[in-house]
Amino acid sequence: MKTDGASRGEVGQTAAKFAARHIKPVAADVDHFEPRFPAEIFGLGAASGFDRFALPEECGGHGFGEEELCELIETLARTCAGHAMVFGVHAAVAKAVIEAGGDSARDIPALILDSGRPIGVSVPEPLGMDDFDIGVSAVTYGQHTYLLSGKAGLAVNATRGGLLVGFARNAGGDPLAFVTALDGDTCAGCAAEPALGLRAMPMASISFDLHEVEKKFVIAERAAAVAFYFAMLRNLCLVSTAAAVGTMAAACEKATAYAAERYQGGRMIIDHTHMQTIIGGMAAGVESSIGAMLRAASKCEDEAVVFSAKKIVTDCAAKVCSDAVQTLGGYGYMRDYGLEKYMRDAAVLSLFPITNERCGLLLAEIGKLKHSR
Amino acid sequence: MSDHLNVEISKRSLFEMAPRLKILSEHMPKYVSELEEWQLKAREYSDVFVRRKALEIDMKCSRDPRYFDWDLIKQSSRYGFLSMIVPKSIGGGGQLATGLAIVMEEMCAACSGIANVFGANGLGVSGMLLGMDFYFYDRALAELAEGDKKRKPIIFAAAITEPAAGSDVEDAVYLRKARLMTEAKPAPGGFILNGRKVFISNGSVAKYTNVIAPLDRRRPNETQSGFLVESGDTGFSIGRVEEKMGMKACPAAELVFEDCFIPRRNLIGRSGEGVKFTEYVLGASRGPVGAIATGVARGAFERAYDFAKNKKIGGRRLIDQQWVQFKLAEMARRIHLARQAYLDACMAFDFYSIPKILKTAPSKLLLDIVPAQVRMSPLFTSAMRSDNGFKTVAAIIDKELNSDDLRHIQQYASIAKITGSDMAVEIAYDALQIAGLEASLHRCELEKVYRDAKLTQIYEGTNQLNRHNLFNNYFPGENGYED
Repeated sequence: MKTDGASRGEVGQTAAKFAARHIKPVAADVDHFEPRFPAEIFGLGAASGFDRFALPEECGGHGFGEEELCELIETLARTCAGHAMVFGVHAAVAKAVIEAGGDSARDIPALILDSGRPIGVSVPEPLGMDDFDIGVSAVTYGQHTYLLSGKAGLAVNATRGGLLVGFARNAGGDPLAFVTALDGDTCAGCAAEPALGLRAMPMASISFDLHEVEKKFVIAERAAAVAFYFAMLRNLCLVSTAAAVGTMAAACEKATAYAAERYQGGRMIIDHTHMQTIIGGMAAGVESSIGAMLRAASKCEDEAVVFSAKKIVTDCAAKVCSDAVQTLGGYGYMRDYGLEKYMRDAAVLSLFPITNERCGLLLAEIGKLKHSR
Repeated sequence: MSDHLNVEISKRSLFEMAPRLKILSEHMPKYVSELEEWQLKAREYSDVFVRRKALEIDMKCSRDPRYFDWDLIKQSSRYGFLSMIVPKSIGGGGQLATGLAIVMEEMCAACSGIANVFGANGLGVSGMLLGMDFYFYDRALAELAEGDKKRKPIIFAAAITEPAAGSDVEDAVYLRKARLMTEAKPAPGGFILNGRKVFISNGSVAKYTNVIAPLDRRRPNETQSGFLVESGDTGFSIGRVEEKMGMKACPAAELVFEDCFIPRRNLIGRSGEGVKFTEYVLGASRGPVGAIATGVARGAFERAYDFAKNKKIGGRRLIDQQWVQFKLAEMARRIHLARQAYLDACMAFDFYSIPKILKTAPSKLLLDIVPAQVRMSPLFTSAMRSDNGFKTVAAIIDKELNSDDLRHIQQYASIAKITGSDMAVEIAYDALQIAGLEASLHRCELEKVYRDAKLTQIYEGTNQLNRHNLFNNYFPGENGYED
């Protein structure tokens, strides 16, 4: 696994060039209210290796570690958090799927790497640290197939014809995780819906009606499915954290630049001490969030560290981006200046993969388990 | 979520929402019963017409920011919201800031974008109403009331903000150093207006706009004045209509003035009184903006409550979880306090600012006894609009209004605006946290509420400017400006 400061720097430079060349020209258009998944950008990213960035080299990946993954997503998010999260979700889910391993999942890595599309995922609500809420039931059909029925809930990165990682409960009530292609008449709701932010990352409410999944595409069952769920949740929290850092860093930078050149109340905005406290607070929020993100990346197996970072950093991003809009006043509220997009994107990051309130509940659960042992 | 929104919260009585009004009803029953009537009207309009179209209009405006739903505004005519603060003797509803604020809260719980059309209209009307220039009462304001009666509504706007001077134009201290670009130079028979105004709510749909501009940009405090500009006036055009994050149903437009001639009769009051009357107007309007924010917060609260009642996680309703109950309780507490803050501001304004003059014997005589035909006669008009006429009005204002009261009103207005708007953004964010990722979908309404909420921290003077204003009026002995 490649993890050092030098490789992070290289990743950052590559990502910055990619974002400037491919994402920046289209980011505002993709952010339009009608969702439009940027398939061509994902294709270009895949050509640059972003789709297998964090996967082990033995599986055909590039073997970068969590810190590099954070660098990639943070840097892309400075230009557009929605695009960054398309890659981030894909990387987080693919990594969890491949690390779940197991004989039954030997066909899955090739399926993911050859698909040419991002993986979609529907993340059930956690019910403590050993269970989660599942709306899909799986019934055995023949020797090699499950039939899925029910509501998978809101899925991100879900596109018609693309892959989805989801969860179901079998007849015995045990959870299982699967990957399936979103095609045919047996899965509905694949059309992306208009949303508050991260509009490059399509969101759709998926439901199944006797949808066939071959057992070889079951990622994990029973306790292994629970372990897979929490591994994936940690990865997703980490990339949300990274996207939030990039979003607030860009917002803070733009707002500070505006404050330094905009005259108001007899001086530049940045020369008003009240505004200095706001801008200083934004800068402190960005810097401390970078620290929290890097700690989470280095302790990515530790749920308490990762959930804490996600909760604090994405809340902080929402505040920083709101303050950035406030610094620009009326201009900040208008689409042309781009600040309002940061605010919308940051708010959605506070909700995905789980809300920050839910993170808090899980952290308390972790604390309770630790002290009751 | 929106298909089964439970608006039970919106059915609570005015007395439960504001116990002071129950107390006041024992002393001023007519005043309070009229407020109750306006609240019920606003609820009916919101439930029957606004809620069902809010998302559709928001989406249409996303595609085309110039879209404006005239049908919905026409439906409001039966209630008379556009002319609700026009005096009854002129044909309006006779309400003041408090009535407008109560209506705003109700409408904003449904859709603050639509409500803002009425709020921004109220701001435009306030400029004319509080300018105490009775010439406009019988003309533009009477036409507004007539429009409501005939169900052919007309809309007002107020144009204050400039491209290089937002908050600066709303504060006397900052105005001295403002980089203004709009100026109304005196010319034979009137004024020639040049410059641009930006982010003007209702700007692209208003028939009448109250434009604030100095006669001399180098001396804005001494020459700031108010002018009535009518759509279609030569030299007046609409520039860009902004793509806003929220409150999209109410267009924010750029107004362009290129050698726009304004006849002298369309000067509101006397030249050079713009700063004073801008303060009166903002003292009147920031309370209702607090109410707008309170309504936005209530909209988030109602939707979060509805979601919590209907959403089950792990077989348990969200509403049955303690953390959700406490979040909702906290929302209820903060909304209640913000409501009291805007009622403080609005009632103080209604009883102790310019409206107090409208209740004096000379005003009542003028508005209630003297027939409109007489008031509109050339002789009467020239007498009222003569220097002596304006001096008389100014003397009455000086005599009747207490400077401490006016200072307190400025405090309450900024407190209401800051309290409501900061709360609205936070409650909208908390509502998203209760409802989860699904809340970020447009059809679930909460994401719109979050987008809408942010504007309340920005317009009518940013919250930073309002803190500056609050300090100045709370500590008048201090130098409320950093050297």
